[in-house]
Amino acid sequence: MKTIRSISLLIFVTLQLLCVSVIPIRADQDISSTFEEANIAYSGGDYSTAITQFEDITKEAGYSGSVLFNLGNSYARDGQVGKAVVNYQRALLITPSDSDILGNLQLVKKESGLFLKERSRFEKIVHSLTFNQWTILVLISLVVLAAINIIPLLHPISKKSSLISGGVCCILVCLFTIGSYASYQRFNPSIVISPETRLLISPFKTAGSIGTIQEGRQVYPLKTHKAYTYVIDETDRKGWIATDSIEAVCNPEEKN
Amino acid sequence: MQLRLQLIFTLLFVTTLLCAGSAWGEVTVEARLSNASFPVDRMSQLSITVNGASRNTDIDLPQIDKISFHSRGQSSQINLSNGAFSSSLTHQYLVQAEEPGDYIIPTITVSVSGKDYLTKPINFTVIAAKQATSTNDEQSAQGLDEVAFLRVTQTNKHYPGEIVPITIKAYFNQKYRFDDFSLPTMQGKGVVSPQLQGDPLQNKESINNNVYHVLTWDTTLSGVKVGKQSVKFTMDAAILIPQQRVRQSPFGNSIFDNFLGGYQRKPISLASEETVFTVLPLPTENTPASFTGAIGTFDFKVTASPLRLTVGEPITLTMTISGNGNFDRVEAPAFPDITDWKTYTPTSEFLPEDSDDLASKLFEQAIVVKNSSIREIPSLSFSYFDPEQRAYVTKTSEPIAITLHNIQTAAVPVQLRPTAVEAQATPTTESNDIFEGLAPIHLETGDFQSVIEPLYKKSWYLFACTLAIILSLTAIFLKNRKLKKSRHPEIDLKRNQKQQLKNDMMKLAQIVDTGDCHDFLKQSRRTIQTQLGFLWTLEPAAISYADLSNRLPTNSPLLEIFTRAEAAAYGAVLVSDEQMQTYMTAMSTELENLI
Repeated sequence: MKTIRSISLLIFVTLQLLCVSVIPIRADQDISSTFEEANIAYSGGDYSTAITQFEDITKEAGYSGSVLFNLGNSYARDGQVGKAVVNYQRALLITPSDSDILGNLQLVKKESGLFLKERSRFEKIVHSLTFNQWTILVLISLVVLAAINIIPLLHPISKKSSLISGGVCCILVCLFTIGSYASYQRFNPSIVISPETRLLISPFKTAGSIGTIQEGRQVYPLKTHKAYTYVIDETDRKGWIATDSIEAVCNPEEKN
Repeated sequence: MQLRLQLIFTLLFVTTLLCAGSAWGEVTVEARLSNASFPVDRMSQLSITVNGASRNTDIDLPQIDKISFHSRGQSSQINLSNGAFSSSLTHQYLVQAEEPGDYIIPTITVSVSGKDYLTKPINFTVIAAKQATSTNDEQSAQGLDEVAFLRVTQTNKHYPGEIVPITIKAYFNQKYRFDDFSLPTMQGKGVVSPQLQGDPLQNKESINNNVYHVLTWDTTLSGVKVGKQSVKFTMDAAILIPQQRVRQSPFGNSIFDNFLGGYQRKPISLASEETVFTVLPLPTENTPASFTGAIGTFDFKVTASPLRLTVGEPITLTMTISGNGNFDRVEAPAFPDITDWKTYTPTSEFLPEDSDDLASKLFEQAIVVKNSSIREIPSLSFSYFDPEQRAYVTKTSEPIAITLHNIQTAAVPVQLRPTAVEAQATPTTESNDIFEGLAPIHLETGDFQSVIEPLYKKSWYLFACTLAIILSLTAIFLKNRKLKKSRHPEIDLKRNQKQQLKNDMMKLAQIVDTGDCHDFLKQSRRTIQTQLGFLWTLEPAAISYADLSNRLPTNSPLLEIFTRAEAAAYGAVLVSDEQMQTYMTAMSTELENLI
């Protein structure tokens, strides 16, 4: 009797372990097949199907640079410039140095007339790196600073070289922190995803319009009121915009 | 001189008393109601005037079913006319009814210096609140006008969409206190008015001997439906009524009553008179093609930048429409449908009125020249309807000359899109094949992550930064400590000396516990030599009694202990337990003091 119980328990535990190990593999297989189907739909010109499938993958498995890139391409081909820009920018947050993503984002912006205004020298420097790259630089400079402080305790070095290297490193930490802060101000923009969107003076439908804002343009939410969000755009215009007309690049599940 | 002045003042005082006495001689009382008819949501003012008395009056107000009286205080008046004095005391009350009906205020008994006087009964009518506002009853309106009212400037004939400025004024009688003001709202169909923004202008105006606090809003009306439209504005507020008190404050003063008594908040609704807003139809003849519904007077300017460029480079076309009118109907002038240009959807920005009271709307449109033979940006047109001239006006910009470089490479029209068919359409209407140049899709999914979050929110990043900072601070601390030690070696020496003394004293304590006096004295001698060796930078073993007697005070207990210890080294010396304890304490204290 005792032996039968032990064997049953062993079989139960083994099955449980198998289930636990098989389910992710099964899920991975599903995702891979959906991804392939979406790619086929894209290649066949069925962009709406491709969009649905890429979106499904994102909902199920999370965010991947390649899936977001393909989703951006599908939206661009489908004529949804705003959505395309959102997904390219999300993809860039995951794989910032991907030349395909950078190239396609620039092409979509250029072809849609989303020309950038001339930036100041400071803005050029800040935008030369992404926010994450700035924060990486801060970390590297902090590590180097720690090394510069620790090494003299282990191996004597000249006081002058220790002071100079420490000072330079401190300056770099400060500069990179400033760069990170400046970049953070524009880290999580929202993208206008609806065509013919208007900036309104007040948060209701019949309010006066400040002006129109192109689909695909970046705005930065400041506050919300019911179904409207108060935003500032790239040209420092401020106004209310329907919340469902914009989509945040970062943490898309938390709409602004 | 002083005597004369005193005489004059005395005479004046006596005359005043005599006259006053005559003035107070005849007492009459009178009750008066400001409105014989008033709506149930408003009040009327009851004034009880006692002529010939300025104090010592007592009014017994009657109890009337569904009628309440609210005291508004009292005022006294003394007049000197042709040498005759007259005085009066007026008590003010607000009369409030709970429901409409005909009421009578019966005779009111007024006691003046112990004598009773009676007023005449007063009939009055209280009408329903809605009746008062809907029928605009003249009497009730008069009653309201004394308290508060709303006025709006009259309008004339206008066109659909025309912006018509109007002024709304709310008048509030300064005699009353008000609260809970709402913004005026428009009631009427076929006409729209923007929501009022900001605080109203505030000033005071005198109308019919009443001083009013006036709130003024400047806004606009705009007709949307042709025909005669009835418009009126309404506004809500609350009047603060002092709560009726059983008796007045012991101070007999209305000011204290105001402080001590509470207020009842009574909502009131103000409505302006209905005005007719006539909306005329726009002329249908000679309507320009570029007319989009703009009505008013406008100016139109076009600029472009850059003007020296290469083929394919974007030009920003800035179209500014300024003036007065309905800017919400002002749209971007259409760029001529020329295949030599590639155009993008314009953006617009509304700039509110400037110092010249002119508003403007700015349109920015990106255009790209496709043909190297192009020498100018074509002229653009903007049309509007001028209500003063009652005619359409079209303003056309001058063509803007441009200079194209790189003629060799741009000799043939630049193919911005792959096919000729696509090239004929502008991107604002074209299909999405403009994205033919997109990099192909990726064939591998790559790694997934659950959220897209910045690096600084990731725990490993925060840990690494914190660790680096802690290591840096620790290293700096250690470095400083090392530096300090190298600069001040005596600190370490002193610490070592203290530690040595502590250890020696512990050893001595152990010896005291065993009661071995010989060992105790031997260890005492060694301890003294070691500690003084540290202090005097001498070899401890070389320190002798002579050194101690030379350097220490003569009464130092160390001398005695050292002497006993040296004696014990050469012969038997007995020391009791108590003495060992005493020596140890004295030695510890003395050496610690020396360190």
